[in-house]
Amino acid sequence: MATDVDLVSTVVTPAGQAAGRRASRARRRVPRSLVRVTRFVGLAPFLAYLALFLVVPSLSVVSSAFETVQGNFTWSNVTAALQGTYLVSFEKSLELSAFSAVISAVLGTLVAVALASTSSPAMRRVVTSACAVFANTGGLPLAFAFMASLGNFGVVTKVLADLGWNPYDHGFSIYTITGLVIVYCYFLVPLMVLVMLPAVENLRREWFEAASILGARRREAWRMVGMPLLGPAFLAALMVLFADAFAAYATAQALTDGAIPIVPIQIGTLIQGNVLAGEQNVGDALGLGMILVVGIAATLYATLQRRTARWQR
Amino acid sequence: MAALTLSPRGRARPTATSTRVPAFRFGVVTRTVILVVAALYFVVPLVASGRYALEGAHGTYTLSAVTALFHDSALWSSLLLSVEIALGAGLLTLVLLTPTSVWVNLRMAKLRRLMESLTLLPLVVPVVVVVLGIYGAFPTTVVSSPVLLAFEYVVLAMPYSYRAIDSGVQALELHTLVDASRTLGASWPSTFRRVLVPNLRTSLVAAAFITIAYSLGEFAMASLLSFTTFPVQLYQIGTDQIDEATAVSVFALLVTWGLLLGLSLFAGRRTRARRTGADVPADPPFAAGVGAELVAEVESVLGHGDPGRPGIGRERGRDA
Amino acid sequence: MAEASQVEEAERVEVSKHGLSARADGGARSGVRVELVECERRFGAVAALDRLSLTIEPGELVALLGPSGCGKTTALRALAGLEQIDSGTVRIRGVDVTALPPHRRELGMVFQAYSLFPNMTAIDNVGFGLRLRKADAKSRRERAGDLLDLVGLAAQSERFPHELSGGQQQRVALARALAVEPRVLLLDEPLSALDAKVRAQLRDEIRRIQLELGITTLFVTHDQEEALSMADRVGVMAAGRLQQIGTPSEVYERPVNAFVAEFVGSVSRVPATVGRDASVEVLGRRVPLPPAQSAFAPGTVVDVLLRPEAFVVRADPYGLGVVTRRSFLGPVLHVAVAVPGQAEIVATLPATAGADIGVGVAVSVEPTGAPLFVTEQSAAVA
Repeated sequence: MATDVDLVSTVVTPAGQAAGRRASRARRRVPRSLVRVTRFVGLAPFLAYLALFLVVPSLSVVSSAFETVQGNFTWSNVTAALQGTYLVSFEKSLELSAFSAVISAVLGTLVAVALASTSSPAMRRVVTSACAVFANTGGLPLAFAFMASLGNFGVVTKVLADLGWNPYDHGFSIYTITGLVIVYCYFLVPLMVLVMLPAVENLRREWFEAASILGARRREAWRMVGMPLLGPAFLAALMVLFADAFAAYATAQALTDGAIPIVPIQIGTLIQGNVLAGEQNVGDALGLGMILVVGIAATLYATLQRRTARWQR
Repeated sequence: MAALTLSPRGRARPTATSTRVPAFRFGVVTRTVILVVAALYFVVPLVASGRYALEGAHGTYTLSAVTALFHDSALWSSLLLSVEIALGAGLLTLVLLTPTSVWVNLRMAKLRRLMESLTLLPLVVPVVVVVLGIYGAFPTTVVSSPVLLAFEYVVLAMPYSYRAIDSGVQALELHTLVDASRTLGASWPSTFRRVLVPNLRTSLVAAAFITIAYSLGEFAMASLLSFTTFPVQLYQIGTDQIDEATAVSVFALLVTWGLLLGLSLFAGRRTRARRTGADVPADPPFAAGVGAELVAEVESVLGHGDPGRPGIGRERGRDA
Repeated sequence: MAEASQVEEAERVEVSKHGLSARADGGARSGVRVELVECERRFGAVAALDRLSLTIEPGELVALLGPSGCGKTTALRALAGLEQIDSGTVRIRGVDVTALPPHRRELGMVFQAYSLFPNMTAIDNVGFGLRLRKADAKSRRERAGDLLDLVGLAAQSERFPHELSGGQQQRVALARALAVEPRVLLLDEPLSALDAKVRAQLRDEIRRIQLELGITTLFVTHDQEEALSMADRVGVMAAGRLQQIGTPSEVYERPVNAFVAEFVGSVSRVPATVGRDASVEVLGRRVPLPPAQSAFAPGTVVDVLLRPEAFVVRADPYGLGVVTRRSFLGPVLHVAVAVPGQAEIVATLPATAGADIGVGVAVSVEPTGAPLFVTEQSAAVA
């Protein structure tokens, strides 16, 4: 760019340098303590924005969780949230998230290792780009796509039925938790691949060769060297998948029309007005629960990340 | 001591220490099986959607389902709404985050880590919870205005869009450029507008693209706040006209992917030209100078990349 | 390198201090013989190993020296079992191990860099091999501690690799390799990634430890200073083939071909014509051809290869030569002198000589001794 080249080249001329010195002298006239505080001034718009559009709603949820409709403190919302259908929905959510996270984590790692094993960089680029795209596919298109393939009259269902084994005759349905797990893998596995691929590629061959020379058989090397080194990255990614699956709403809603008992759907139902009298703020308690679960996952993620970072060079 | 060395004979053979051969490899059979099965899993649902969309009576293929929808005025108006919101969100993102990133990198470089954590905050709060909070904290007038969606989308897409902008800013010689511009007499706004922004073009386009793509596909917040955006309308159509809805959603998906593909093609041309020093013939303005960097940035922010910073949180892109 | 008696003296002291002589197969000085026989490894048309045969005697340190791509690393990795060979045999202590996987060959190997397990402390790294052999924790720690002591890092035993410097890491790597009492020690350019000063220090230490333990060692490097200073014998490789193998002084003073002459140490090429009595005229003086090469026919145009120390350079304003470059190296001065009618000559002078660039000099060859090597002029550098 012509502009900045001109500007930059001017700095190194005597005139430019003199001007720079004048400018820095001018800056130094401001007292240090003031400088330290004014540092944050430029951040104000951003902080205000974040506060208004994220923190305020979140705090509202947290406080409403402990309030009655009149505004008095109460535990009733929280206790209600931990009982009956709501408790079931928490269980179901945790089940859904855990299963889809673990399955996707394992499958994703396998794909990542398989990908790392190929020698053609073209293949790697294609698959990585595909993963970036799939990792962000969710909600409606995904729900429709799976209805079209594994729904009652889906393409795959039909093929399997023709082969003699219609899954729907055997109790399977895409519109259940099991079905959702299968669907969630669609965006969780690519995410795992994207995260694990660099981690797998970073496993130095020297480590494995050294282990081998020192007497480790393939499996031992994997168990004593590979897994401990890949472990934290794997677990960190698992946390990410878990949080992602737990908070997901749109796919489940689009697929089951709100008929599946997981926490985000429950909250959605409550928002849309299907509340019993006196239970108006139970949704907030559920929301608080969600924040806690995702928050714990995020904290674990951060801790694991710090450990791996130490080993990277 | 000057010792003459030989140049290696024949074509360069990768020496043991320089090959990027992974430590642990699957055999050819294993990895082919894995990759093929994975490919099937991802492609089949798309193909199935396509079939659903195009299938007419008696197994013929017809575009009638798709064309019927093009005449649906409600769908068009919802698309218009979505586009307006998306563009608004994109603009807001740039206006809010670019100066912020520049400021942080200029004046608060040591607090960069803190800033990164702050921008990741939206990932810790699920969207349904934010919606709950909106109902609880904001007055009805605000809640019933679609403008709210634009403002919220900026926050929801922030972890990704901020990263795009920030990596661009960090790649600049920020202090040098600013000092040079200021000592030549330019004011802060002028510096920002004439020096920094042009050099951040790629990152800014990437951030805008990310926010726009996110906004166009976002479902959860829009539907729970009762706005009829494009995805919400599609969903409603889908409740009784599943084929048509599938058709449109697949179409929308393909358009986005086609866009990315087109960008990477332009990217290839651009980088090749840069390498050979040849002049690239006039690219369409959008893709000019964007190309590979954009794709790479979008990819890196949307989840590809270092294990230290995966894209995390809610289901992304299409919904929340 | 120390005199024989001094070495033994040092050994006796070191051995008793570290108690490392208690080996089941009979003590510190019994290394094993290693043989590579007619090893071939091709990648398409390129031969990484071209019928390479090499024998390393028990307790010997052989350095494989050569430019990148010459096959020295491939040879080492073939010995380790990390590379397959297309044909040929690898024998350790007389036993054919060609088909044996690396973890069964009882070797020790130090890599160029980054081979320490980052999730384990130094002492755990060193004890890794022992852990594989099901040694109990206490004896593991003891032995690992002894080895860290041997390499001078006893105080850093609880540090993680990322907390250690490059030189320290390589010492730990060495300790780890030795912990399992390997029969052969393999060193794959272990010093290449280190600073010059650290390199020199570590070089001496590795040699000291190797002599003390009497372990057969193969050392791969592209740095001829390392090879010449450490090895019992140096093998110069190019294009997958062993060009020459001999003691450092043999390889330096009596190269068998132009490549070895030019790779090991510096060399100047002076064109000349072979005279009638198996001699050549170099810079005005007639010198005899090297004994091994007296078969050149008179009249052949040749390049005479000479070491820098073979020249005599005198300041002379009417001299034919002009100093074009100089490098002050501390103890000596290297100068490049342009002589009309021939290529540049590189000569070594005492540091006190006042040879500045542009100064006229007279150059001649030392009266004693034959040239290093003579090659037909058409023969390009191999």
